[in-house]
Amino acid sequence: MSILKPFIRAIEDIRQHIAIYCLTTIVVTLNILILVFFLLIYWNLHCLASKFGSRLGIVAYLETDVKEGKIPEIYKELLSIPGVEAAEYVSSEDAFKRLESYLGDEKSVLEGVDPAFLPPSFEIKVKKALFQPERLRAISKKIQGISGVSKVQYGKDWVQKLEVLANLTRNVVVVSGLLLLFTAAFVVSTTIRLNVYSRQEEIEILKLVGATNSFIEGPFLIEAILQGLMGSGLALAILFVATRHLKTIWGGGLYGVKPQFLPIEFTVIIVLSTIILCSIGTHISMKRFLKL
Amino acid sequence: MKEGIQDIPMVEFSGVTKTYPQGVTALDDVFLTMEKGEFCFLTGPSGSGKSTLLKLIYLAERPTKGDIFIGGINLNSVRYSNVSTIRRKIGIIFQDFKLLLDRTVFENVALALEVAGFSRDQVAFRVDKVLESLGLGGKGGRYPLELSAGEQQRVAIARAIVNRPPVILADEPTGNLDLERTMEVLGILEELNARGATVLFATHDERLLKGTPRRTFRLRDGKLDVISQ
Repeated sequence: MSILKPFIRAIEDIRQHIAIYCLTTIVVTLNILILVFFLLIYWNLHCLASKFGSRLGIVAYLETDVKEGKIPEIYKELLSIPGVEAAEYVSSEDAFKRLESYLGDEKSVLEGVDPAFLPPSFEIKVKKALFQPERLRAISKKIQGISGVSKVQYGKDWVQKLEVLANLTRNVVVVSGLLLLFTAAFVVSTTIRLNVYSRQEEIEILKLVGATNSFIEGPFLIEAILQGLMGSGLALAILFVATRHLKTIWGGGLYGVKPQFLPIEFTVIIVLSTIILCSIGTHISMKRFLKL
Repeated sequence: MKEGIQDIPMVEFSGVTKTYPQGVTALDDVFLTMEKGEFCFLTGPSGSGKSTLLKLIYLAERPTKGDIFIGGINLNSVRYSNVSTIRRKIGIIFQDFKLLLDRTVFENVALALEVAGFSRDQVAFRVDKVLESLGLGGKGGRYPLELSAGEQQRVAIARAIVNRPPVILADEPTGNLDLERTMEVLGILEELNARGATVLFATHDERLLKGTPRRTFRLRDGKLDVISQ
């Protein structure tokens, strides 16, 4: 029963100060909304970039006269290179079929051409290939050294451009995110402080009638936890609904990438951080009133 | 042995000096003793240190020098975490009532019991009883601003006495009341005193002191004199 008392008092306090409580919760919601919105943009850019990254790989063309028996050996050697995630063999015939399919109605130009004129190749997928041109270069060099490989190609220009873009985006996101985080922390703690100040007399009276600090602070902290939970929950819910709506109306997405909501780990961190922020803000604000 | 415990003064100041950080000395080498069940007046002009003296008793301030004892307990030895325990033994009444305006009369009075951990049933029983005894029966559901000043002060008194503290401190409790209400409040405090509470009544209203049989202390520039025994 005594454990429940602070909760009952917190609910009663919320009921008694419903207007200021709602106002504080709205401020928390709006701040978290802005912060999470920004995070969501970053997350979607990241998803987009990853998609590009997964498409970019290395193509190792083999010598046209490479013996069939040597291919598994080359395959093994490729996989033994650190950083190589997978390798797929594309025979001259497969390459020819791809070319035909690419040409579509104009494939007749290939009539009479021997499929063997296209060299067999390996399409190599590199782990986290994106934004690391040095790594791609190093891997390419190693592949080039394998006997039977005639030429190695990778989207060098693309990777470099994407790297610049990604670095820029990351820096902008980090700087703006930190600024937003500080702003959110400041606004939320100031609003909570105003809430505590408005109940200064109540705290003073409780102290005078012999309330312990934990008796006074308990319900305030419970209110702060609820505030953090509701504020962040509401902000996340709004953005979740918005993302789903965007997904529906934006069928094809951008380069095949549809708007993504944040992963569950992110949402848990956001909710917990908001709860901690509200609780710390309340505790610091109350500290001065709880002194002798 | 039992007699020995009863002999311990309820309130005792021994060479107490209180100087505020700005260098203002509010109390200067004060000696004061109140026996258990005594009713004393504390008078003096505004700013003479009356409120400071009371604050030292309910531990809102700490003395710069000297010792204060409540029922034999040296307040200098009371740790911060135990201040609330001491305060539950002291009922405090203020000139401005210090009531929570957004809470009902019942809720205001119940606060003093809730902080002490009384159950809901006990709280309801005691609050109803004290409100009845102070002529506030049936007004528990009202809000302070719906009551007259005299009634508000009676609510404040109810809150101060509902957990039956052995010491009652009244800091200018009649400052906002007319003569009739003043005498009413004085009558209530005298009745509580008759039931065994030790009462220290701070006032600058000389009308209350005329011909009183009570011991009266006067504070002037932080110095304490006994003006009537």
